[in-house]
Amino acid sequence: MNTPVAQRFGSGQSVRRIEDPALVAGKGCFTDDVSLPGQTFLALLRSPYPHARIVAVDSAAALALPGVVAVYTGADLLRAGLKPMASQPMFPGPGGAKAPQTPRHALAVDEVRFVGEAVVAVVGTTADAARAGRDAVFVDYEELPNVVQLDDALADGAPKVWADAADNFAAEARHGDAQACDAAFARAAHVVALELVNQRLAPASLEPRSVLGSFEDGRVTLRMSSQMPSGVRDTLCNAVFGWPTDKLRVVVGDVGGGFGMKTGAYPEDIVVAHCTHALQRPVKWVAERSEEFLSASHGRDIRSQAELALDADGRVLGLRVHTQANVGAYATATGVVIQLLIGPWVTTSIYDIRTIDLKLQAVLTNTTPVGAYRGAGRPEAIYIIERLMDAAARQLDMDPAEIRRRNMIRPEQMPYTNAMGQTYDSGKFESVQTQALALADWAGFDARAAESKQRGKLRGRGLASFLEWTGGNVFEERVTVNVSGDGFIEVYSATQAMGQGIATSYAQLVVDVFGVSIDKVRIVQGDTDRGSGFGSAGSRSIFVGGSAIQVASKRTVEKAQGLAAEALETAPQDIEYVEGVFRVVGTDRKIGLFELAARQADHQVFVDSTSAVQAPSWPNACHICEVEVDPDTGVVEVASYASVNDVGRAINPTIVVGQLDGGAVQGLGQALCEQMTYDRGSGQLLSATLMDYALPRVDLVRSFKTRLDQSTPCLTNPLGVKGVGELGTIGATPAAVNAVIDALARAGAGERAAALQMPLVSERVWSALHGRPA
Amino acid sequence: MSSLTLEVNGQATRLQVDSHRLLVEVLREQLGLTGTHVGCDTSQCGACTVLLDGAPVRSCTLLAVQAEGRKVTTIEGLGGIGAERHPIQQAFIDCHGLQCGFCTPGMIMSTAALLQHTPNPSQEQIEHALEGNLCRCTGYVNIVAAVKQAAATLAQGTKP
Amino acid sequence: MNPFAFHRPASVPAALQLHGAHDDARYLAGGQSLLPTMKLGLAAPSDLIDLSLLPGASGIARDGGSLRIGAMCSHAAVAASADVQASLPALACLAAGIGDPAVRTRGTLGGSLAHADPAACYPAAVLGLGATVQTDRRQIAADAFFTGVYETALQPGELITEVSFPLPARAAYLKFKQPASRFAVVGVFVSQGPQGVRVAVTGAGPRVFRATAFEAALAKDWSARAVEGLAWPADGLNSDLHASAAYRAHLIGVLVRRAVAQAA
Repeated sequence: MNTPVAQRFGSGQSVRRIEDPALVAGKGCFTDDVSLPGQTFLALLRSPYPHARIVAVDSAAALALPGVVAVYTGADLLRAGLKPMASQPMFPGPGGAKAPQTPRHALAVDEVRFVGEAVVAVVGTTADAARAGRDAVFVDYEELPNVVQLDDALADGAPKVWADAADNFAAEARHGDAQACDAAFARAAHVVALELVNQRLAPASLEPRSVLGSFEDGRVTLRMSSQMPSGVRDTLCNAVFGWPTDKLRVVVGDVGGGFGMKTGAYPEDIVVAHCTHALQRPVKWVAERSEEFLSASHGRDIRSQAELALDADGRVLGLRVHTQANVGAYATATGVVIQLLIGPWVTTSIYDIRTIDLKLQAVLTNTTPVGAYRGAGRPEAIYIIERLMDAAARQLDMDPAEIRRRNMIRPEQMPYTNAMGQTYDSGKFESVQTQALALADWAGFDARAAESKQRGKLRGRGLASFLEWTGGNVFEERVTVNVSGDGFIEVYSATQAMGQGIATSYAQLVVDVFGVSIDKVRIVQGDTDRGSGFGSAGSRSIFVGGSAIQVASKRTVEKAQGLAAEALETAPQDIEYVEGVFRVVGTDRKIGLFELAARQADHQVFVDSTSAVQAPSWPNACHICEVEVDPDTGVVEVASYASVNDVGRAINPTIVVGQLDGGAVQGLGQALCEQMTYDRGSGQLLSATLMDYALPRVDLVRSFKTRLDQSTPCLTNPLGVKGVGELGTIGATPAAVNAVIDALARAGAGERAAALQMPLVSERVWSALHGRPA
Repeated sequence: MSSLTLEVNGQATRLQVDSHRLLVEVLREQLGLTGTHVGCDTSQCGACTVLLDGAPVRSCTLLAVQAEGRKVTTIEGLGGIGAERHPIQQAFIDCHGLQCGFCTPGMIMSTAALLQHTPNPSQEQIEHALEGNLCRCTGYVNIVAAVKQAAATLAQGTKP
Repeated sequence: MNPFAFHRPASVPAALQLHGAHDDARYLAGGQSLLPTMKLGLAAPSDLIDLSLLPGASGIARDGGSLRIGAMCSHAAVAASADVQASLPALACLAAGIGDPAVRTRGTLGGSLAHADPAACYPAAVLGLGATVQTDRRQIAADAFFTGVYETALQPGELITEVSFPLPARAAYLKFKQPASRFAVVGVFVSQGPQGVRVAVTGAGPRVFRATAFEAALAKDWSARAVEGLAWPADGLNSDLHASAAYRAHLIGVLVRRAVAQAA
């Protein structure tokens, strides 16, 4: 709709966010901001050992402390009928054998398998009382041998994390055609081989996980910081408690960052629900930061042997990757599918690579389970191919942009089905790269490098051209639209805000259709009583959720048009709708939208609409990073960062750029400073606080040049939008790493640089530069 | 339990507190000022930043009793909604300087402290002032832009 | 945090008396080291003695060839002090680089020295300038003050009241920050003054120490050139998640050269 209102507040405009007035005033509603009368607090006693048998739990001393209300163990929960969360159901074990089962109890039963695993729950009338009670519980452990690193888990005679998991393999997947790939490698003019580690990370949202359980009307309500409230409800009801789904309500207020870590149900959610149900009083649990490092799902953690076969002209003949993924102590559905299927879907990325041989193995260790973290498999996959492309460029003495260009899928090949059977609807990859090269002034690099050299710095440049898969594989979404006779339009969506500004973008879409001012639009989320859905993950909110909102809005206008026709005693086709008013064409007989709603029996015009988009969207981009390396110390600084991003269509360009740049800083964090490290032997997490886990700070990047290319709308959803939430993170990591390697290569240390693994902390870079053992 | 007298957001306040209570706990739980957030347990993230006699402090690393007789300003005291909004808050909105909003009150209070003594801060001075405030969502660039815009607005004397 | 009794003495004798009267009492200055330790459960004193009301503890004054800084001076106050900026700019710079603004509002000189974190900045200045620590009962020379990992020469209950820094002809402090904590992986304070040449290194070893080989070279020739090619041995240096002993040894050389160039 091209009305004045839509032009100002509809899609395509950088409308100021409707979420912001409350948040900047400190009037947000994060879970811990809510307190209920009679509230109790939950403290969890966690395993200090990476692997141990639980011999006995003695809670007598805890129960005797003032303010301690209850103590629960894993045995208590078993007795109460709770079932464990099942392990991944999708993939077989190695060689096609049955996959080992790794059932996950909310509180450990018999055995603990990672440092930080929850063992005993203590409920107290105050947080202090709960913690004092927790400290007074005595657990008798019998330590068992542990493995925390991949090599150790895979070594002959390694201790077993699970008795049923031979050699600690949880699952395996193979994709492609090994024979065809071998043949491609045999005839190749060049073979590039890299060992690549994509290190374990902490998603580290600023707001830790928080859950507040309450008991009303015979059922439990969980208020929590979650991206997927329906998923949590369904898991707890169906898989754990055996409750009908109307016996649990999950509500979500403001979420202080999710990044994939807050998808899915956690043991702590189950414990809070159980305590609330058993005690019939409110129970609050808020993770402490060190607790969060230990028990919130971790990200990434794979090691790959990756090889590229090329002909003499730099055309890729075959891609072979063998990846071992350290999924932690439990083979969760999410953690395993990310590495065994989702990442592989994009391993060939924007390149026309038909012959692949992918072998992915999920390996168990005595570490925190790995789950989704911004990109969830795609950063790992794109890192592999973009590192290979740069290595190939170096080996063939070709420009890194040129070797990519030679292999890119051309627009006339669209729709293109890749070697993993995924179909891309659209994409002009070469155009995006060409634009990015210009934006980054790729051609002017030498002059900048000379200037850096004058200041004693080594300058390098790196690029990543890539696409990614979005949608979470769930394309349907249900939306309700309520035009109220009180003068507002309320839309309910089961997608979930976590900082990405979707309420604003949704409101803009509603303005597009209804033509009313944005302050009359209310976007409601986060209540499983109001509606269910997949939630927000995989960058699906706008292209799936937003499309559903547009469809629902149009259906509502259509329904209202029929009602207006009745009210105005004419046929619907004689009615036109403009900016909130239904008018009989060619007359001045009219009725306002809200007036019409007020006239209805239930004072509203209400539509419950379910619709689906056709396919994932395939956002794609070229990210170019320049770095300066201090040769005396190895310190890497980001000197510039430019990107061109095919986002299809931007509903709110400022919000989209914010997602890209914020995501890029997370990607740079992986490249340059973040690492979750376990101590070999003791199995302790060494990076368990912000004293040792280095998150990016304000001085990491000074400016971004971020361009949105909206020339290539997505063809498989009505909005033309491609999901952007994870795109920046995916591109930044290889762009930055390629830049550092380039800097070192120009200084004569290319071979050592290519063997570097992330994070490229100063000592590693310095050691590579100077040939010292790292 | 002992008696604590202090000024919070311009209001004389008298409370009974245990000596081991942190200022952030007292603000959030006893005074209902939940705009100040707790994001870590090693005094590093800055989400709990408030002003103590105009200077930035970590309210998670200050006992409430240490604020005896002092003036505490939280995000709620800096500005509110609508007409009560402070130019710094407005700048954060205008520049898309927040996403999830959890770090935002701390960022804004650190900004308020900076602009009080450095009304026209350089890039370096802004980075120095915010080095103790973590953000996981925005990537910081828009936050820095917001600080610059706030400085410009305040310099024009729009609001004292 | 465990509960404790909180005291607010108005004089040094009262503070000493309180400390003596309770077995497990700790002094509380800015709290930026002690409170995090208590929050982690690593310390659980029965009594906290808040020093913020002690008179004269926050002064900064020139005294002939020295600068006297009260133990309760905050890092922010030292960084902003016109006297410090004029007479000992390296110290103002050091204070301005401790932690972040919120830490600097509360953290104090006395608190930092009494805590003696092996990676803290102030110990490098005290040792690097040959300062004198004044307590309630004696003066302790810098060379005698830092005795081990988080250990000082202070006796139980002994209270730092001020530190006297002899003014150097030139000085500089450079810190290579650990990216997460931003404490010093290596911090180097160099000075040339009435006490000769001093090079103090924090963060690299179990406690702050003087790099005597560098001092000797610089005493002959105060220039980056003089210490080119001088390597500090890695033996005995810290090795952790963030830096090996060898890398720390290398950084000592880099920072000494850069600090000398800056102090010129």
